[in-house]
Amino acid sequence: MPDITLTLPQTFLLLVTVLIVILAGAGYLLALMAGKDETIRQMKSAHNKLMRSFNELDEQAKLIVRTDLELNKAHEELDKRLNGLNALQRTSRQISQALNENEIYQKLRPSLFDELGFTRVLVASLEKDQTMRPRVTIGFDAPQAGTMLTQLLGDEHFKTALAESHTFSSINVSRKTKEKLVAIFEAEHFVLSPILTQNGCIGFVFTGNRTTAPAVTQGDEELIAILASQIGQSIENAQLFEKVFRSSQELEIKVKERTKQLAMALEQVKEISQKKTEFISAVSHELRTPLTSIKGYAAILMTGKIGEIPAAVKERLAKINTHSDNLVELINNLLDIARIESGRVEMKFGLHSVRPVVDNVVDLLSPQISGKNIQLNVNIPPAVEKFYVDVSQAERIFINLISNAIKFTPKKGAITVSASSAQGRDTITFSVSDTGIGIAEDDIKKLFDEFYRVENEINQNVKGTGLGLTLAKNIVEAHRGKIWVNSQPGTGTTFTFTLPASQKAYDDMGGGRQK
Amino acid sequence: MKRDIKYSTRPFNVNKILTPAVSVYRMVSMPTHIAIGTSQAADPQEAAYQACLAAKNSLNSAQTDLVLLLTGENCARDEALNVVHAILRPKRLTGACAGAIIAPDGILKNGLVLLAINSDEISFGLAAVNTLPSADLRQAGFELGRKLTGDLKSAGRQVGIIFTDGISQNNSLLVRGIQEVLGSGFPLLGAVSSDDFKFKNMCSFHQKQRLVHATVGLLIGGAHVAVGSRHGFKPLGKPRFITKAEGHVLHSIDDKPAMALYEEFLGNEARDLKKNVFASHVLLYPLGIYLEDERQYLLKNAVDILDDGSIVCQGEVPEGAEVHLMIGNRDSCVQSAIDAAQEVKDGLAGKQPKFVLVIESLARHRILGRRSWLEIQAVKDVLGYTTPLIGMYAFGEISPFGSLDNVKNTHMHNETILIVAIG
Repeated sequence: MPDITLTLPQTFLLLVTVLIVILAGAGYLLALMAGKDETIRQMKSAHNKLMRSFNELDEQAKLIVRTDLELNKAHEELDKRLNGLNALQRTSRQISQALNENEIYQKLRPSLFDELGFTRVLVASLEKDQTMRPRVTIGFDAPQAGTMLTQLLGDEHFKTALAESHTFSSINVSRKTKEKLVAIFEAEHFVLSPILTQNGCIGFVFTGNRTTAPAVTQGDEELIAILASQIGQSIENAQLFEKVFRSSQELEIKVKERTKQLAMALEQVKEISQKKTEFISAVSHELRTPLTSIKGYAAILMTGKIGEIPAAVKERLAKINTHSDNLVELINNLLDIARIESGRVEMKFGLHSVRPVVDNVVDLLSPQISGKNIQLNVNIPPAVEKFYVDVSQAERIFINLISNAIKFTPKKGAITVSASSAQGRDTITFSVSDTGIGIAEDDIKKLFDEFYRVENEINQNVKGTGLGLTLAKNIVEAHRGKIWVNSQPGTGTTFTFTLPASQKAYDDMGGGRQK
Repeated sequence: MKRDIKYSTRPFNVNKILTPAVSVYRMVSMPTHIAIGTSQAADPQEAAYQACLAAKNSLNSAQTDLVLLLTGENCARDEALNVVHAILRPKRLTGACAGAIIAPDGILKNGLVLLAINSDEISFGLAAVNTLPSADLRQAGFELGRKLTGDLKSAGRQVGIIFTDGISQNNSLLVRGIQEVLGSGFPLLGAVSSDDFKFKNMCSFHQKQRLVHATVGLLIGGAHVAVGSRHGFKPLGKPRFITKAEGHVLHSIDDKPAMALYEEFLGNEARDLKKNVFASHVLLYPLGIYLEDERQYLLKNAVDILDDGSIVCQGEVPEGAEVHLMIGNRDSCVQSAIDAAQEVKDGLAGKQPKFVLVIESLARHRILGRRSWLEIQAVKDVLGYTTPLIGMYAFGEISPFGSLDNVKNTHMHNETILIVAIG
C-alpha cells in the first residue's frame, strides 16, 4: 500500500471538500425530506377527501333508502287500496243482487278479505232478541266466535262505539279499548265498522291481523267502512225487496182468489140465467095454451052464436081479447128471447135482398105511421143490395125498432130508416132514427135489459113488455152483428145495428165457429 | 363455445358435448307432450279436479310420466294430491307450495298450477329426504343425491331441481351434500317453498305425500337445459366488510353487529325487522355480498335476527367479503327478468323450449305488487307466448350465477328471478 502523505493545505482542502460534500448531501437530504412530507400531506388530504366522499355517499345512500322506503310504502298502500277496491267492487255488485240477508252474508267470501289483506274476520248481525249472530268467521272457529261475541256484548267501550256508529281501528282507538279488543280478537291490528241501516246498527264487521302483519292504515279503515256501509245498504234493499215481493205475492194471491170468486159467481149467474130462460120458456108454453083457449072462447062469445050478449059484456070481452093479445105477444117475445139465448132457435140463414124486407115491415106498420101522421123516410142506396140473414128474424129487428120509433115520435114527426155499406167492409149498417123525445144517458145503459122500460110519460100511457129491444139485440147478436143507440133527450134517438152482407162476413164475424 | 347439456358422460362436467348415440335415440323417439292445468278454485279438490281435467284433455293419455305441481297455500292439501293421482296417474309427482304461483295466464295467490309431461326423450329421477331443523343437512343432501341418481333410469343427467321448506337453515350444506353425489359443478337449481309470509304452511310434494321439513328433488336427463338468473339490485353506500360469519349466520360487519347496518340505514323501521323479518319493509333492501370469484353481488335476506344482532341468512356467508345494502325498483326488476330470459334464450341456442319454469322471490312480488305480471310478460316476450310456462314465488332461490356455461358454485339467493328452460 503506497504511503500517502498530505500537506497541511492539502489536508485543509480535503477537509473543506469533505465538509462541502457533507453539507451538500445534508442539504439534498433535507430538500428530499421536505418534498416527501408534501406528498404525504397531499396523499393524506386525498385520503381524507375520499373517506369524506365515502361517508357522504353512505349518508346519501341512507337518504335514498329512507326515501325509497317511503315510496315503497306508498306504492304498497296504493296497490292494497286498488286491490281492495277491486275486490270491494266485485263483492258490492254481488251483494247488491242478493235478495235476502242470508245471501248477502254468504257472498262475503274469504277471497274478499284476503284481497283486503286480513286474516281474521268476524262479521256478526244483531238479532231481534238483541243477541249477536256470527255470519262470517275467518281465522276463528264457531265456538271462538261465540265466546268473542259474548265478551263484546259485555264490553261497554264496544257497545258505545257501535251506538255512536263510527268506524275505528287499532291506529285511532283509545289504548284501553285497543287492549280489550286485541285481547278478545287476538289481533293486534284491526278495523271495526258498524253495519248501519236507517233503523240503526244491525251488526258489525271486524277485520284484523296478528302481530306479525303490517299495521292497518287509514286506507284499510276507509275500505272496511265502505264494505260495512255496502252490506247495510244491501240488507236494507233486500228487506225492501222482500217487503215488495211479499206484498206482490199477497196481492197476486188475493187477485187469484177474487178471480176464482168472480168466476164462480159468473158460473152461478150463468146457471141462474139458464134456469131463468128455461123457466120462462116452460112457463110461457104453459101460459100460451090456456091463453089460446081464453082468446078462443072470448071470440066465440063475441060472435053471439052462443047467445046474444049485452053491450057491456061485449065491451069486457073485447078487453079480454086485447089483453090476451098483449099477453100472447109478451109470451112470444119471452119465448123468442129464451130460445135465442139458449141457442135453441134454428136460424135459417140465407142471402136476401134488403129492400123487400124493409118494405115489408114498412107496409106492416103503415097503419100506425099514417095514424100518427109520421113521415117515414127509407133511405137504402142501390149499393146496398143483399144481406145474409134469417129473414123472419131480421124483419123482427126492423119491426121492433120502427115500432119503438113510432111509439116515441110525436105526431107529424119523422122516422128515417137508412142503410149503408162502408167500402171494403162486408157488413151493412142500418139505422132507425126518430124525432122523438129521446133517452136520458142513464137510461141508455139499461135500454137493452129485459123488462126495462124508460120512465117517461109515453111509457106510462102506452103499454109495453120491455122486451122488444132485448129481442132486437139478441137477434142482431145471433147474426154476429152489433147494436147501439145514440140519443139526445128532446131531439130524437137513433138505433144503429150491423148485419152481415154475405156468408163470408158472417163467418168472419165469428158466425162460422158458432154453426 | 355454447354448452349443450343434452347428454353427458360425466354428469358433473356440464361442458361436455353429448354423445351421438343419445341424439339418435331421441330422433326416433316419441315427441314430448306437455300440458298445463290451472285453477283458482278455493277448494283444493275442486281446484285439482279442474286443473287435472284441463291437463288430461290436452295430454290425451291414460298415464303421465311427471307432474310438477305448484300450489297456493289453500291447495297445499292431501285432498288435492289425491285428485291429481286419481286423474292423471303420474309415475312421478313433485312440487311445492308457494305464497303465489305463476300460471300461464296470471299470478295466483290461491289455486294451483300443474305441468304434466309425457316423454320418451326426457328422463326423470325423483327423491325426497327429511330435512328437519335438527338434521345433518349435508348427509341429507348426500342421501337425496344418491336416491335421485338411483331413480333416474337414463345414463345422463342434465340438471337437478330441488324444493325445500327449510327457510332458516343453512341450505348450502344441503346443496353441498347433493353435489357430493352429482358432482361439484353439477347444475343444481331450486326453491325454498313459501306461504303468505306466515311461515306456517311451507311444504313440498313427493308422489302421494305432502311433506313438511323435507326436501324433494327432481333430476332431469335427456334434455337441453338453459338457465338464467338475475336480481337487478344495485349496491348502496360505501363498501363494508363481513368481519365475522359462521355458516349461514352473519355476526358482524365492520366489527359491529350485522343488524347495526340496517339500523344505520333504516332507523326506526329496522325495529320491525326484529319482530318479523319478512313482514317488514326491510325485506326490500337485501344484503349484497360481493363474490370476488363470480364478480357478482349475491343477495341475502335476513331470515332471522338473533339477540346479539347477528343476521341469519339462508346460505353460507363468506367471512371477509364486501357487503352492501342493495336497492332495486320495479324497472330494475323487470329489466333483470328480461336479462335472465335473454340468457335462457341464448343458452337454448335457437332450440324451442319445451317448457319454462320460473322460480322467483316472493319479495320481488311484494316490490312489484300489482305489476308482478310485467316480469312474467317480459319473460314471455323473450321466450315466446306459446311456450308452456309455470312458476312460483319462493322464500329463496337456489342456482349458480348466470347461465350454466360456467358453473362455479351453486348459491342460495334471495330477491332473484331464476328461469329454467327445458328444450
